Amino acid sequence: MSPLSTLKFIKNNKRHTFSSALAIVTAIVFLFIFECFIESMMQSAYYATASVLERQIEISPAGSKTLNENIISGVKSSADIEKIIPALTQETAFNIFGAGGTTQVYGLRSSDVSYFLRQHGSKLKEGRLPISKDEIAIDMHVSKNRKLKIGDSMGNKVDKLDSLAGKYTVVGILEGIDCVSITSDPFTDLKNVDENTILENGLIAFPKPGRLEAAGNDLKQYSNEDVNVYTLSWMNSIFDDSVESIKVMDTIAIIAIIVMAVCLVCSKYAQFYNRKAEFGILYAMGFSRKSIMLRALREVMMVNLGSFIIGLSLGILSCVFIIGDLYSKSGGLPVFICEKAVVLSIIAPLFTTLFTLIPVFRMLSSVDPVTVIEAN
Amino acid sequence: MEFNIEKLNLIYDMDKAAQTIGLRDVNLALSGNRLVGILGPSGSGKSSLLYCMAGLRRQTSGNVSFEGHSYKDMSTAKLAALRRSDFGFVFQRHFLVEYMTILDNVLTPVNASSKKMRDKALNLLGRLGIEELANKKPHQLSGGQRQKAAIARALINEPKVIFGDEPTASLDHASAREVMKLLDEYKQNAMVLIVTHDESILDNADTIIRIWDGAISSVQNKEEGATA
Ligand SMILES: Nc1ncnc2c1ncn2[C@@H]1O[C@H](COP(=O)(O)OP(=O)(O)OP(=O)(O)O)[C@@H](O)[C@H]1O
Ligand SMILES: [Mg+2]
Repeated sequence: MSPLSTLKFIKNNKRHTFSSALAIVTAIVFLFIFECFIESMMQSAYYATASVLERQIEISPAGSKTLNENIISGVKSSADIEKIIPALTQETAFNIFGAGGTTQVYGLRSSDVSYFLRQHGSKLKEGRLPISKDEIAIDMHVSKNRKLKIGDSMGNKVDKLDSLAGKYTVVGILEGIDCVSITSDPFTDLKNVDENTILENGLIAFPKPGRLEAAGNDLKQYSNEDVNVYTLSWMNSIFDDSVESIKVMDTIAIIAIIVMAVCLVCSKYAQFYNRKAEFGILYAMGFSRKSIMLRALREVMMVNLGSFIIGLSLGILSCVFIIGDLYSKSGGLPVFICEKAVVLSIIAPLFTTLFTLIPVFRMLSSVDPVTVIEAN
Repeated sequence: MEFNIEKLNLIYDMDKAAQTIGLRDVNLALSGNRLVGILGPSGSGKSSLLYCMAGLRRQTSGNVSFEGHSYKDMSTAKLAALRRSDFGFVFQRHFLVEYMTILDNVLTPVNASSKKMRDKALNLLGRLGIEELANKKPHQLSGGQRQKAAIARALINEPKVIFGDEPTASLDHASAREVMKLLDEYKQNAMVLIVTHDESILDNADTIIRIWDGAISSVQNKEEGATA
């Protein structure tokens, strides 16, 4: 190692290098855990409640009311709808770290089940579909989240806090793109009535390909205090509200990073400033300003690049352990690498590199060897 | 080894209202490997002359040339390259880099770590009697030892000229004599220019230049006696 090489400098200044690297690494790891935590929370909550609405629109009566003829015929005649099926929609608890919530349980006619599952890319993973009264097939994430296996029971008769009414026996586990759970046919008592009477209890409308938004805009007209119309855009507006509070947390995180970076930049600059005599004497010895600046550049870049790489690896690793533990065990969707975290972890060292180099270069371009030599 | 200085003037703070004259109309020709002492009271311009000769200060008027190369025509980068290849420096303070070992400090001007260079550096330290301190840090050495390390650093690139500005001023008398002895030995290979206001260390000088108020008052060659 030649005396002016970057590695030699790092070797000779282990403690200082370590403390600046530690600051950057800590910042990146913190960012990673923070951002991936938020992302996991959002993704899990979205999966549990929202993603079904990317493929369907739900209309259900409020309270004990029923949907009237107008609505049913209106939905049936909508040009954007491919098919409507009657559905009794309920909810059951789905609690993930940071976001307590529910997921939907659909009571469907046996004849509609295979169409419904196909729409949501859902298949039986284990067991069978519900046939007899009070049976249920649940999404695998619900099974993990609630620790329910085939043969177990669920519902508010088993657990008072559950919003699913009654007592159901788990007979199947489903796996799919969306989180759907289905109970056995709730309409068996209504065998001999016409279709519209069944639809009065609530319905699911499947839009024609590419017409989700148009269908949503069309069906929104039926929404009033007696009728709930659940569309993707309605669901997204609810998510946007929580995004607002996440933005506040993001801002706090970014401010923390900036404070860290400013402190780091100041201490780095102080370190360079203390080496003014060294640079002046190198210049007196005949090293060009360019080579002295390049040496400073390499030192700063090496520390920042190294910290970035270590921080990134540790960040991903700690996400796998912490987030993985929190979310995959509870049936959520853990996120280990999120774009925002990566972007911020690139920006943090870039920021410190840049803002260290600007004042250091200014100092190096003005350092006068004679002043250094004559100073006492 | 040949310096030619013609009508050299150095004025400080040219752009300010109050100016100071550092050097006035200095004419000087120096050649050959020899020990040259530059003597004068404080503020007389000794350092100014040395900085001009080393290319560390630009003259206000006149010219310095080294081996036929005129500084006036050289860029700052060219002058730096000249310093790196042909000059060595020892100052009143050692200016060793604190976080580097003595060996690395000595190797700094050549920025190399080959076996050959390391041996050369160790050999130099050996000749200066501090070889066993090669792996120590500057703060572990005494003042005299540090100055010797600085001398080894000045010699590593086999300079044609060694500039010493008060190299013994921060040393006790014994160390000062020792350092001067080493510099005196090196005059076999180079021109050694020593600035000082302590005439007693210049017993072995081949030439003594006296400066007074920015101008040369006398140049004295040992064999010839005084020439004004
Ligand atoms: N950077 C500067 N700005 C203004 N005036 C200066 C500067 N450096 C030196 N001078 C002035 O130039 C004159 C010569 O200074 P120089 O440093 O060459 O003297 P010197 O003989 O080396 O003195 P000393 O023995 O104290 O080191 C002095 O009057 C000094 O005040
Ligand atoms: Mg001086």
